[in-house]
Amino acid sequence: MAAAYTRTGAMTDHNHAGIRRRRAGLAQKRELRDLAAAAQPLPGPLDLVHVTSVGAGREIVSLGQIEATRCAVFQRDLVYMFLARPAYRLRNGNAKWDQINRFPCVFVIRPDELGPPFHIYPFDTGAAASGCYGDTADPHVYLEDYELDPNLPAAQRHIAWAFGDNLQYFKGDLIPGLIGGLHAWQSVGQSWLTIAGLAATGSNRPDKRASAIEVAYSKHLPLKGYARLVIFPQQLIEDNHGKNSEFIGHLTKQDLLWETYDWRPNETPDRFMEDVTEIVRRSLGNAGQL
Amino acid sequence: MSEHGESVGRLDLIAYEKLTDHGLALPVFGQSQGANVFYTARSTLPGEANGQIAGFDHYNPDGLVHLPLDQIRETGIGEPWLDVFLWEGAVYVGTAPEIWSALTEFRERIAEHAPLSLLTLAEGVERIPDVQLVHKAFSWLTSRYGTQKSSKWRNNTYLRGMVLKCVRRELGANSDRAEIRRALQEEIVVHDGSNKISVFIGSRFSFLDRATLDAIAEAAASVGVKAEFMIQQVRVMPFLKPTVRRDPVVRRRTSENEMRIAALQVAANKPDGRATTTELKSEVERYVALTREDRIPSKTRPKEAMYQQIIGNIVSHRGSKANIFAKGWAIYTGNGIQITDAGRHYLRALGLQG
Repeated sequence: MAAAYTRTGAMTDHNHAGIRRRRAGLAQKRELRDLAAAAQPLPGPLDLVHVTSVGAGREIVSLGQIEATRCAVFQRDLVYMFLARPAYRLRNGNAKWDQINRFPCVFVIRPDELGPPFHIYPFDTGAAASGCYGDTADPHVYLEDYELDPNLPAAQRHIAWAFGDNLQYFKGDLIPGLIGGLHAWQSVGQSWLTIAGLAATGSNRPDKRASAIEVAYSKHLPLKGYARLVIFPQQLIEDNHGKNSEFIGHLTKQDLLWETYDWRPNETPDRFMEDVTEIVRRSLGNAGQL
Repeated sequence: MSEHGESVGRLDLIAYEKLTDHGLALPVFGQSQGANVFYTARSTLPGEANGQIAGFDHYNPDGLVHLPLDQIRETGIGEPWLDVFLWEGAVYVGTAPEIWSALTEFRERIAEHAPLSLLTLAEGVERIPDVQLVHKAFSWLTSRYGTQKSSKWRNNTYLRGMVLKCVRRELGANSDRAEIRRALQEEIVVHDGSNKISVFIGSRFSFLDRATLDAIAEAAASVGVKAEFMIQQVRVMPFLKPTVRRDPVVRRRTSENEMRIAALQVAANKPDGRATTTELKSEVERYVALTREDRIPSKTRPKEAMYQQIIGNIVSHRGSKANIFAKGWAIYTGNGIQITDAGRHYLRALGLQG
């Protein structure tokens, strides 16, 4: 995925500490898929979550679809989402980090009839390629080695193997002691568990991207019939001169349910994301997914 | 300091980024009107009234709107938080009370069209604003979007937000610790009944006092529901050692709240939980990292450092509503303090040894 993080010093495209791509022609390992193979996939797929800025979110609502945009890591047009978690980082080259950070807008999407994804990874590949997981990753494991099978039951099996259930996955809490059950040669599993530990409760400042399951589609995704919820700041439901009426009108026209969070300029971006996470958690809980 | 540790000195509020055409916008700062490096401010009291600027972070704007020259305001760390409010094409810049006052003749109209924005601005003026404004916002939501939406706003945004703010205020800087942040997310829940709401508060946060809960109940009553508060035992989180923030923190003097917590820790580690004022003054630095400013001599008591004077005040200002005695966390012994069970409980809620 794209990793042109615009925040000074936060992330860049060409960070040499990032997880490297495997050279073309070399076969990828299948270790994570094999580890989860015996796990029973959890019933009912989780919804997908797409996080963007309010500006980009308005455009999505107005267009009626989330458009696939060029991904610098995989060199093709993709739409990025995470399974259930509103872990948020830059998802494409058009939206800017600071706007997502300060004015988040979230789409919760039903995956049932979207067709097969282009790829599924057990973390944010943009963050991985940018070196955001630091030296936790095994330098001899390539990005492609972490890939799961590109279908949602594979993601559900991975959750069952690594987290036990959907709620623990949502929280980022791994089944304790998993790493101890791996053989020394299972380097992909060991490396992933170390990275995924960054999202767990014990982390100083948990990085939810580190174990959020990334699902990418190589096509535009329509909202109508697929988006279950849109979350944005409450200011947008007030109408002073009509602009917001148009926005709400588009939501209504496409049968989109919405919820709002309390935006204020002196609040920290982390707290906006906590508010949004709480709304998503309630929504998934009400849908019987957690 | 910026988030990357570079000193930015004083800055001008030169621009803003807006969410929409009305209400509060994000204030954007720079070294001068023509600056091409931009910053946003951090508040000492995020999301609260009466905060000051604690620091500046680099910001990469997308749709910057520059302020006219006569509205540019110079400011710096430690100065009052500045807001930008948009209404009918005009831009209002200043502290929340200044903007509130400047909008006097428009407030009624704002309440009709953008009552949520008006309420947010009012909350910047007073922590608990006029209940009429809350009622207005609730009624507007009901008439515009129906009772389901307005109830959700009332329960999950407004009342839960109030509880969260009160808890965070009590916890001070500790509320930013990862495990506390998560507990705040998971352990404060509002359940809706027909004409009653139940606010479940994790037992670790049971230190909220009666006056605070009464204020929340009053706000709930203004939007037509009776609030009841249930302290519940929630899965105990594993004890985690206090961790060091990665972000540089702008610190001048340690807050009085942190000093209160440190004083309680001194007492908690003494036989019978009793510590004299002299012991508190000499041992408090075991529990709090004192800054250079904490150690400068007091102007009024030159033989004491500033932090020792603050400890003395904590013990002697027993009439204050915010002190450890009024909260029930300690009792005055005549020459110091004795920590109570509630005080020990409070420390444990912070993940500290009680």
